[in-house]
Amino acid sequence: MTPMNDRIAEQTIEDHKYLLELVENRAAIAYFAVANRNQSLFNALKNYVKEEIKQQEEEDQGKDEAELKKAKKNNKANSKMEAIFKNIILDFDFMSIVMYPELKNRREFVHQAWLIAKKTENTELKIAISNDPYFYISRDDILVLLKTKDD
Amino acid sequence: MIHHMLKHEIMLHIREDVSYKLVKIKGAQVNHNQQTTVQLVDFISVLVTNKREDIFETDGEVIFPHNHIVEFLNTHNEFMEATQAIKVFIMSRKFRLALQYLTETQVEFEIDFFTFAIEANAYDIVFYLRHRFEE
Repeated sequence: MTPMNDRIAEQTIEDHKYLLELVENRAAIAYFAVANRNQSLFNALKNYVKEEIKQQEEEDQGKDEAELKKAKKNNKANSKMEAIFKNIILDFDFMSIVMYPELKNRREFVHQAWLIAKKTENTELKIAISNDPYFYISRDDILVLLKTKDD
Repeated sequence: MIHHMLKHEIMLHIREDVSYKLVKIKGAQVNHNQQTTVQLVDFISVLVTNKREDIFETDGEVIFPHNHIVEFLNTHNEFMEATQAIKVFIMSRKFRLALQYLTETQVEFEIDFFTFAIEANAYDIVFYLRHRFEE
């Protein structure tokens, strides 16, 4: 198997752009990149997200305030998950997640990925994340599980 | 998912005082990351403390009625420890549920039932336990 380098990773992200429309897919790629210690893929996704944010900002500059407010209102349900995703891909340093998993960052990363998996009810991702050795839940997560009858 | 979590003993991050009481009830350990393995009593405790959608309202919508809790316990019966569940019901002053499982499971009396009931000011349960188990 050819190891993934930066160029292949970028090409992979480019070829699978259609998957990146959904936040759960982006979260899954970020999680599996970390779980498989694939720094190239993680960085390629990070660069893709940075590029998206830049493009969005440029588009927003052209719009007036009322239009922006309306768009924000429509995206409210998704915006929380988007914020969580941006947090896991932009705020965590890859090395701090995979090289020092005993420390807090890996646990927080996995937990935030879980929040997206749960919110989107992506069963495969939920199972994969819950099997991570650094996975944890809190009482708030238990309440969500109970409310959604996720027996 | 709940079944999967209970089966694989995933970790519960402890932040609240009640979780420490539950650790005592479970007879579990807390690790250096303030985590302990999740067990059915953690789920029961969340069920009984969040009976209503808004826990600060007395007439809000009931999301976890008694029969829901009983059904939940039936579903996850294989992970059920009757004495632990009863202690959680007593701690949360759930007289009817405590009474139901005390009679159904025929568990032996433990002094913790009594002390938890007194600590929780659940005097209806205290008098019941005294009446039933006093010798």
